[in-house]
Amino acid sequence: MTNAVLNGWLIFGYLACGVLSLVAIVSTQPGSKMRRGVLGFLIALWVIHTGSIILRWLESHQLGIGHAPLSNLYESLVFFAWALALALIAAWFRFKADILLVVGIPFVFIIMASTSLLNHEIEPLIPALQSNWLIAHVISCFLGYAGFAVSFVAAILLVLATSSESFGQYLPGSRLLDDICYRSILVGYPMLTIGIITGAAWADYAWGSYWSWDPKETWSLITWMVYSAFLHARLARGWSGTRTAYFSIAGFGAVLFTYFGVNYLPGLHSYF
Amino acid sequence: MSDASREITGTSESESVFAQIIGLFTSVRMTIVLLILLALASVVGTVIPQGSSQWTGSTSPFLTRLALILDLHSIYSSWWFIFLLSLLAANLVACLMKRIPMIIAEWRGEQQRASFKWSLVDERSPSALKDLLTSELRPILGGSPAEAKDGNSLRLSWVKHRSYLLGFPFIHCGIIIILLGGLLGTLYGFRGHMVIKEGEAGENFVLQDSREVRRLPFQVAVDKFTLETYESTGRGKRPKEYRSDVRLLEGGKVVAIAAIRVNHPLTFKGLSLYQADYQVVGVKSVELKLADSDGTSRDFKLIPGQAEKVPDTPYVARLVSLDPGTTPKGVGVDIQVDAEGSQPQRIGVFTKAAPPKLDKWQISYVGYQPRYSTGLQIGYDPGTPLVWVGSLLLCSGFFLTLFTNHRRFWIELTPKGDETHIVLSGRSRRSRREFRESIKATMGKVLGRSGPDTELRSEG
Ligand code: HEM
Repeated sequence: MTNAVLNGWLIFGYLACGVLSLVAIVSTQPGSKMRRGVLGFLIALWVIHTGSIILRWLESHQLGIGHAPLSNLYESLVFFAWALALALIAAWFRFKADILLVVGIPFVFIIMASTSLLNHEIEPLIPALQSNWLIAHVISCFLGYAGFAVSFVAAILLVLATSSESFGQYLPGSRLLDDICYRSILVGYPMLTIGIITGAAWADYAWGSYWSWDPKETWSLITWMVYSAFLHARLARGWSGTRTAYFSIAGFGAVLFTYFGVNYLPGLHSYF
Repeated sequence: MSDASREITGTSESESVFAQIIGLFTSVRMTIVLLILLALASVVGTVIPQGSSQWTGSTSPFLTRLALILDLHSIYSSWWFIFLLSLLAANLVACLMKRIPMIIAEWRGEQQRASFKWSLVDERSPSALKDLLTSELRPILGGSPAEAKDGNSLRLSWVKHRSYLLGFPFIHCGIIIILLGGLLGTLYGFRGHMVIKEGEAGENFVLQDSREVRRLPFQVAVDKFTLETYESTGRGKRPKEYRSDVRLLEGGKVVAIAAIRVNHPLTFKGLSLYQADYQVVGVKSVELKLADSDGTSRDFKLIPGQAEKVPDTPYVARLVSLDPGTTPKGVGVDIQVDAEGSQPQRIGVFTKAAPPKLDKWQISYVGYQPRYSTGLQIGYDPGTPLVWVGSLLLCSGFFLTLFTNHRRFWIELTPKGDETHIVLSGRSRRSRREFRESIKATMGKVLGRSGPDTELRSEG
């Protein structure tokens, strides 16, 4: 049972969990046994997911090229799905909003499914990537992205809830959605900041300059600036509701471009 | 939302322009505008190729002139980008200056603002109530209260996690210091690259942007370059480790000996030497094998430019050329052998050709040791320490704002006849409801009163 096979099973697991969460939210009341079952299923999948990442790490050591499984697009997508599942579970315990799972789990499924298109062989680490800064940088960045993803989901729901009444009655109150949108950014933002700092420390340590305005670095800074503007609009100008929701959506657009789009621009960081 | 951060608007019309400018610089609106402008500028910087001088996009003179004026090919060091950054720095400083007095006042507890207030009456004496309340409130507020006599009433005040108040200044000072570090780096820092052959020394390097040649304050002698590859995975020669063993010399005297590896630079006198890349520039030695007809074999090593005596034969061999495999004969060498009084002959020893005969030996090709030149990157950035100090401040500021919660609580006990009037008030920066509930529960238990009598509108 290699990690790749396990990841394959996880894809179906998350799909099933997503479908079940939809059925649960439509056909049962909050707090029902089925809804608790869906949450348990998600937690179980996440535990297996953790196992698969650890298994890949062990396998890389057996091949004599041991390194943390965070060095190429396949491994970072698997980790991103793991971080997003973790963020959804944490958000559920903090806010008890089942709708987050219904909309969030499909995202985890899509990310995991996309890994099946990539070559899942364990490759040796080129010298530039052999550094502890790499682990800290990738982990903090993706925990940050996971927080922003949860905020994005809440923001989308908030915009839907306020724009169409018919859809709104399924959703939790806009005050709760607004709170989720803000609090998950409050958690994601320090993580992204630490991600940028560790990335700069790694670049300084390995290539001699902490900042060279490489497109990937620049886009993570752009994402950081958007979320800084969000925090100030909220904290110091008292913005809330759909105005901040659009900010969060714009921010997540920057996150997606930082992660995917930028690889089509020339630069240091391309995974391909 | 803390009310301290509300803008003080509605200043009178006749106020001086200076006050308006100050007002602008201390407004968070400016921060948001600056952050968005900087973000948009950075986006443009990733679309337009940076560094290349000509505007490949279009031929119209207007656009090329525009690109020149706005430095669109080096946006991140352009005059207007640095101007925006300095505006942000000024905005940061102004904000800090405006809020520092408030933070100090709050630190000293001069701020009596409260988000909830209850007044109650109890028959126990102030001193009895004091001891009872102090012990009961310890789990929530930790530590014992400060006491103050105010006329005939006793005033107890608690404070928890004042360090929360440092969160905001740390975050914003951190950003200022990072911006300063960045400025210092762009003004005085430089990056260069130098290439040194194994066995040679060098001190000149080429600046990255201006291609100008500069001299290091010391000489770098490269004794050996080693390239380690991942053999075990059989995926071909994927580089695992590059390593340059160097000696640094000042005026011919060795001042440092070190190995520079990828991710493990050598820093000397503020200058850092990084292992960047390498090239093969020649041959260090060639290994051949001499096989005798009765099965014994000997290793035979040839070094370029050195004649080597072929054992048990009158011949002396010399390396002429090495072919890394450009012909069907495969990898191999041409060597020249001559002996006393006979004509020198040329012999080819190739992997995919029949091994040649010389005297009693059959010669076959084993391998060769390449001679490398190592590419070292030179880095000097006086701003880096500032950036790390700023980042540390920024992270500790986050820690404080996320994991501590500044709370204050006051109790005023005023004896009236045989009763004591109690006034409870308090505020908490975060999780206000939980704080009020915990106080209400304790009061309920201690004073046997369920709810508060008058509750202020809780602040935001
Ligand atoms: C790039 C620059 C900046 C960054 C990264 C930054 C970062 C932050 C962060 C992370 C917070 C949230 C702190 C918390 O969670 O309590 C915050 C709050 C705040 N910032 Fe900034 N800030 C920046 C610039 C500024 C500037 C220039 C001002 C000047 C007006 C400002 C004013 C404020 C105010 C008033 C708050 C609200 C504090 C509170 O009510 O708790 N910030 N900033």
